[in-house]
Amino acid sequence: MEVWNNVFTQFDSDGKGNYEELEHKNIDTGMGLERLAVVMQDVDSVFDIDTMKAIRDRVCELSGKTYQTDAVDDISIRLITDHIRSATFMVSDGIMPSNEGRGYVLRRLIRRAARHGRMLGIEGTFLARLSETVIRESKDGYPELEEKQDFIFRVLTQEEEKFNKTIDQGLTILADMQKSMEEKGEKILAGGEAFKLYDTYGFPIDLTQEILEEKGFSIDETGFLSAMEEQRTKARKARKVQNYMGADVTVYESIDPAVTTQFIGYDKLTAVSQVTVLTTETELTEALSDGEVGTIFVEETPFYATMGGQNADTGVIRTKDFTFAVEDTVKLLGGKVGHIGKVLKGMVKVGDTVELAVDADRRTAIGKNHSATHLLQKALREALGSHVEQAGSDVNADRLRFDFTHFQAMTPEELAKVEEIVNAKIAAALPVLTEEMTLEEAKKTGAMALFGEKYGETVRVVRMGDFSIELCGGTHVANTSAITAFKIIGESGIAAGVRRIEALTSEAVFAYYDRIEATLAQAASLLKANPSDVPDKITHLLGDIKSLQSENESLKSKAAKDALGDVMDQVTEIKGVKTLAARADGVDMGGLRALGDQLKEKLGEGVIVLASEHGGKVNLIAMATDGAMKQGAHAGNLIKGIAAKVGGGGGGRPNMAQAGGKNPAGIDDAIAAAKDVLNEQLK
Amino acid sequence: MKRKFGVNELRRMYLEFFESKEHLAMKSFSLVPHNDNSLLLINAGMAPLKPYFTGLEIPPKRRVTTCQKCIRTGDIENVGKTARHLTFFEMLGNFSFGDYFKHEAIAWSWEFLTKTLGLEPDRLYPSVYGEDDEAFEIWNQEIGIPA
Repeated sequence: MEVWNNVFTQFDSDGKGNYEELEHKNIDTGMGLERLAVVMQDVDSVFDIDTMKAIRDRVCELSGKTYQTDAVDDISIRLITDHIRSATFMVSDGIMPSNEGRGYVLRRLIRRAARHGRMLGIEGTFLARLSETVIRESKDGYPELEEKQDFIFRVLTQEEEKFNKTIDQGLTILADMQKSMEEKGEKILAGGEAFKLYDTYGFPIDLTQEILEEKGFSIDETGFLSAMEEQRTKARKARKVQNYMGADVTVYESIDPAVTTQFIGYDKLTAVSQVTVLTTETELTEALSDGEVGTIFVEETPFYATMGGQNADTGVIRTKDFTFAVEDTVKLLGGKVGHIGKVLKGMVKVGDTVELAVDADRRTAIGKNHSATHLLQKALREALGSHVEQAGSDVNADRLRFDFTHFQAMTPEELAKVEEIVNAKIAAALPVLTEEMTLEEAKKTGAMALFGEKYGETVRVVRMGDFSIELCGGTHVANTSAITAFKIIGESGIAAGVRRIEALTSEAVFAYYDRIEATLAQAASLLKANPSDVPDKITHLLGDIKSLQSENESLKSKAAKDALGDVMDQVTEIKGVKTLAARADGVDMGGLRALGDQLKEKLGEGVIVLASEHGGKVNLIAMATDGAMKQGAHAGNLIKGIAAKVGGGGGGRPNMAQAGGKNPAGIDDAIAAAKDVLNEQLK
Repeated sequence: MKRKFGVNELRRMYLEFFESKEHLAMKSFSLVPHNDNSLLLINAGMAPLKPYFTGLEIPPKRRVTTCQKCIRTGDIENVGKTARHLTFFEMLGNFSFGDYFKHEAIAWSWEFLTKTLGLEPDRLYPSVYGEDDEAFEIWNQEIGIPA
């Protein structure tokens, strides 16, 4: 028998049969403790070593069986002896029975052990009593087993009871199915029926098979598998439409309404408290372990949940060997506060004493933005009038957003005035005081309250010097000087009569100016100027661009004229109408139109047809003045009549038309044809 | 006549032996793998130490010894039917992260089995990987096992 395996990590393989000697050689060596014990204790199998035999003996004691008298019983005895060890240790590491992942492995181990217990004739639950032996035998190497023993017993017993109920129910349903099979003279249980037992009632398929086989029946396995596949497809589709929040609402609803959480976070950022409830994303649970996502509830918390526009705290919940990252904090009905996040390390169980710590930097940043929001509201009332009412608010660590009633966009002067008031109140270092009082008393202080908002009997009043008094449940700075600086970065309308201001405070203001400075420096370096000269330089550049553009325009039209030569020589008269039909190559359609307009002016009255070869294609335009039109000229029909000569088509109005063509060789023909067409048109 | 050591005793003796060889005895890691999605449950002594082997994390010491709880359910159908299969077992291990190598590993395994536990050398049969002449030399020359 192999007892010890020495693994030397010496070479690195590139997967093609080449090995390279490693710089750091590693040793990974070990041996199974149970196997070593078999050798040292001179026994036949791992089930005979001292710690395992103690469990085996306990199984025999609970069932009244004797090991090695019946081969079938022995299978069950060994299976239970093994499975109870796995189950006990898994629960001690925070794994909970479930339908997926390691939770499913645990559920399977517990249910197999429970079923074999029944086969041995053990009545009622027994796994907790058996795990007592596991703990006694292993606590020497794993003291945590004894610390968590009540928890382990509870989890094992709950799962076992659930399973027993399932079995009893399943046996009744299966008996009914058998009866109807007998009545119909069938020998094979329909796959759909077997699947219903398995899926709806959780009855193990191998148990169905076993019981049926005893009576000489069997299962339609193909039908069972296809029913399972159908169910999986359905489940996959269902998962797609179910979002995180959707699942949350359900799981939180199943929490005992008597559970409440006390918020103690106004003046404390850390606390020690007891876990009252744990949930995964979908169900209540006794424990959460490494990598799992879920929600923790405690008796007292310093974590502020999203409320009154202030965003939730984040932070950590931990014990000696457990760490949970709190990503969001939510307030639920009935005064419960849920800490949503992920286990980074270790496990936590209901009843554990945990340490809660809010991310202090983030809380401070949020407090500054929230206090600044109060100053902003009062400043808006001073600058714009008392019609300003809060319409919404969203305060996080990065910025504040405040929606309020006002009927037109704020002017730059008004914005500057508001900023000035807020910054003055920051500089005035006003103390921020909070007080609890009845709503009646609060109204007498003149505190601003939200219209239509429901308040409880006692309310919290936040006062900043004599400047601002508001009803507010949020967290704030102790003195307005802590806000350091305030800067509005946006003002916009979001609905009729509702404006929105976005603003920054403290370090975020400096970061904002840093970004602007960096952008300015970048612009200056592109302009090769000092930052302070940037506006002048840009004014100059815009002037340069303008004069270059007009120069470009006149050059273009000069170029077109040059291309045409002295066209006025080519003017002929057709039935008394001055006609100019000519080609001017290398001019685009826009240039041709501009040229036509110029020529029309020179001509006074008449008809102009211009053709240009440009980029391998042909541009054609025709223009007729009012006088020419009176005599029958029609530019649109004229173009239609000649476009075919250059392999194109087109048309337009009587006074102006254009066309494109693909055949430059036809240009001269087209010009000649233009005179003939015009001759036809004119009276 | 060798003494019959209990499982708990054997575990302690192993860890203490390697502590005497300047190893850090670490507590068994959780059965739930930490930051490792490739594994459902810890299934070997080295599994939770992977970051040390790959150099992703610095080990607290270059010599470590553990007794690691492990679960393997690949053979679950055979558990009970035979007396060999287990889903839960404990793995004793000593690990070197770029520290000692074959000489010490071989010598210490031999020392633990024959001296600490008192197994008779005649009843132990070392085997080496066919191409590993170095390991063969160590067993043959340094430990004195006949080829």
